[in-house]
Amino acid sequence: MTEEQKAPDVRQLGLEPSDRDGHTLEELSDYLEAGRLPVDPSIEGSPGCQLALDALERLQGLGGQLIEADAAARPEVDDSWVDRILSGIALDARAGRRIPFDESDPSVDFGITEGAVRGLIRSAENAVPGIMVGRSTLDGDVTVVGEPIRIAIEVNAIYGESIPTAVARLRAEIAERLHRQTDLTVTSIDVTVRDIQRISSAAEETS
Amino acid sequence: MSTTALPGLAERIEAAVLATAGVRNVYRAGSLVSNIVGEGAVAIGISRSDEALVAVRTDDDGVEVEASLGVEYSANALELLRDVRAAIDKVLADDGLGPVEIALTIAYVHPREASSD
Repeated sequence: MTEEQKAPDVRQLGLEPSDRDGHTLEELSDYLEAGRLPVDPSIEGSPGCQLALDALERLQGLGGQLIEADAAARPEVDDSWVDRILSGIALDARAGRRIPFDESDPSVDFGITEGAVRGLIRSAENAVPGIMVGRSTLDGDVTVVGEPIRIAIEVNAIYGESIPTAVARLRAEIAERLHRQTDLTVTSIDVTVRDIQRISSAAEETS
Repeated sequence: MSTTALPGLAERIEAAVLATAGVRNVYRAGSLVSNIVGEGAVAIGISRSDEALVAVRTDDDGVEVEASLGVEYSANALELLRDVRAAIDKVLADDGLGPVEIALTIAYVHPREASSD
């Protein structure tokens, strides 16, 4: 694996840093690699940066094997799965719409950002071995309590894991996390498997 | 960020919010534009970096409080927000202030695996 293949090249993605309080994914990746030291208050004080750091940390944790597999993938594979995951991370970091809670007291206004909800969805991958969440979208008017909302998620799977089992577990994890942390009326959680990575064969090809 | 005329009120509210079980962070309340302006103001020295992150506005109609939070996964979000509201109410009641309007937004939920639960 060359030096360039060790980490996804976030500079080529053209992602705007505005939703991460001025920080690029490249800066956040470097910060993570430095052990989040010295502490940067502008990063640690930004919810968008925190969402991106969580996702980058998981990506790097699994990344060694998977990025190697991606580098060894056949050239006719169009967009790399790493790019798609990074695009999802960039989307997560945007605050997006404000999603209200069902609170009857008129003197209070409680809400959660769409970005925080996407972060919750992505974090469900922690509980499901062999699955990495790419992009997630909330279809429906989330700004109105009680409106039916469809969750659409693209994921990447590792070959060898049972995909139906992993997807069912991912759905259950997401439903539980959203139920505890939001008042969304989720009508469906649709999961699309975009890529299947065969790590062992990729490693053999590169050896 | 605070627009209150009462010295130290926003700081005391922020401390009360942070002391609420399940709250781990208070982020600068407001829009991205206002945050960039706020960071610029800190950079050129016309605003302090230790200024309260909670926005408090007082006028003849009462008090408005706005805060943006990072919370533990372990808490039920709505119950946690009610606890935060009660903590803010207590600070304002101690100062004899009211009526109160409170806007709280969860901007980040720490992953369950990184939370204390």
